[in-house]
Amino acid sequence: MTLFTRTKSLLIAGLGLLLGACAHPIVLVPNDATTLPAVSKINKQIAYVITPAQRTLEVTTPGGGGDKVRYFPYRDLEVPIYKALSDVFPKVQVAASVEEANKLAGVDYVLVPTLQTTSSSNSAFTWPPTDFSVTISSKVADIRGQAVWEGSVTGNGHAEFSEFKRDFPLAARRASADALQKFRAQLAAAAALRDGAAMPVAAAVQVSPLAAETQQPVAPAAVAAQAPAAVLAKPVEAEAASEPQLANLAKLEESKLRQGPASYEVEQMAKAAGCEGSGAWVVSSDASGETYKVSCKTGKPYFAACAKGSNCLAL
Amino acid sequence: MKRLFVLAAALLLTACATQTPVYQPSIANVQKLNALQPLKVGEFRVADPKLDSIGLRGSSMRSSVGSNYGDYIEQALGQDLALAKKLEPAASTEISGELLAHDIDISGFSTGNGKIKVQFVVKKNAQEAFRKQISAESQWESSFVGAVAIPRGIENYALLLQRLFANLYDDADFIAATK
Repeated sequence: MTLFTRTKSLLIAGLGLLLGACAHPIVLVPNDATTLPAVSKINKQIAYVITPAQRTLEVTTPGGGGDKVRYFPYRDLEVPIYKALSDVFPKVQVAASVEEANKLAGVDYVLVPTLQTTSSSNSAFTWPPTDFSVTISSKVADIRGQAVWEGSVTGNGHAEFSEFKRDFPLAARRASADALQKFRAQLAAAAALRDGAAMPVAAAVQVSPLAAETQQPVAPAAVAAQAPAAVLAKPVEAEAASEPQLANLAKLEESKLRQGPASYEVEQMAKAAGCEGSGAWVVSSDASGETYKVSCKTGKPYFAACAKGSNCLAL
Repeated sequence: MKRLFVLAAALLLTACATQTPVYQPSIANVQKLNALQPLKVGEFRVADPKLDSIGLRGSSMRSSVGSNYGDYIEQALGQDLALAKKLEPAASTEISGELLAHDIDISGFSTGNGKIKVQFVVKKNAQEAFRKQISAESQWESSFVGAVAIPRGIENYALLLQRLFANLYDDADFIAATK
């Protein structure tokens, strides 16, 4: 092989690597064309917290053809979230921290949103994702830090080549629009936000640490289910499950389960305990909270109980 | 067939965008507009036709709105005002301006630099109440790989515009002229 041929081969290989490892930038901003039904406003003032670090958080998830897509979920969705909140509350303010929000004049509630996204593609040749999901999880507390409400919604978007050839991030935009519509409706329907009664168990609202927001590509089937999060009533400490009860819960098939608002938190807890699994699934649910299961690669499942308005505990 | 090939190339190869990104208002900026009276947005011109294009390592970035960067700035400012519920096409107070200079420099392998300067003019009932040049600069992490540096440079133009507007909204003379 001559030097010229070798050089040419290296250049082609390098170009292939650069192109093949491409993470294409997209935006998640939904199109504003949809007219949403009017909602009854909640006569409270709210501040939401998005930190400067969250605004610069760049996430990379799978696209098609071995490529990836990258985007800034908080930066892209902040304005739509602000608009959704403005539809429900007469005055909306933004703060860089919970502490800052608690000091804003006139604020009744502080909302901390957490965003999670997944993407995938059924195409081997084109990079735009054909499927996308956006999960908006929210915790609302009053200015004393007392938890008032929490909820989670997931929006899904799908687009085929004939649709996204003129708008590459179309699946992502549809997922964002779907999530925001659900977010807006869920807020407006939350009786706890209208009443303003704090949950009896003291639970300070904290901004999720940045490390907890690393996005992981998950197959569309594993995305959080459509069931809306229940409006919380009086929280009760989660009861510890017995061994026979856990054995029964372990037998439940994941394909028939759904994810819940604490799925990500429980998955992180499981990882920290040495359990590598693909998702935390709700295996039981009642007025006090939910029990989650993570199927570990070791074969032994990991369980955690999450009381409403409180942290999760490993079982 | 040719159109299909071009589309296929765009999908299969690195997507090198050549237009400004969709502008997203900064909520922190929007909240600074609470004290303003309703405004309308007038024309934003470009001082020199050479400003219609920004060079990005052999590529060039043009405005994705209208025919030049003045249109892009005009629309972006309108978005800020609309979100603050201060945009009123029939208002007697108008803000307009002229783009004097701007650049996105990604020639460096580790840091990108942006700068912009716009002369803003506010007229109340056709009488000039404010005229000032407002500038902004920004820096971001760049890369020697063009496929990374170019999209980041493009993204940062919109962020640079947010900084420009922040500087405008913080200007005491501007606030006084628009109250």
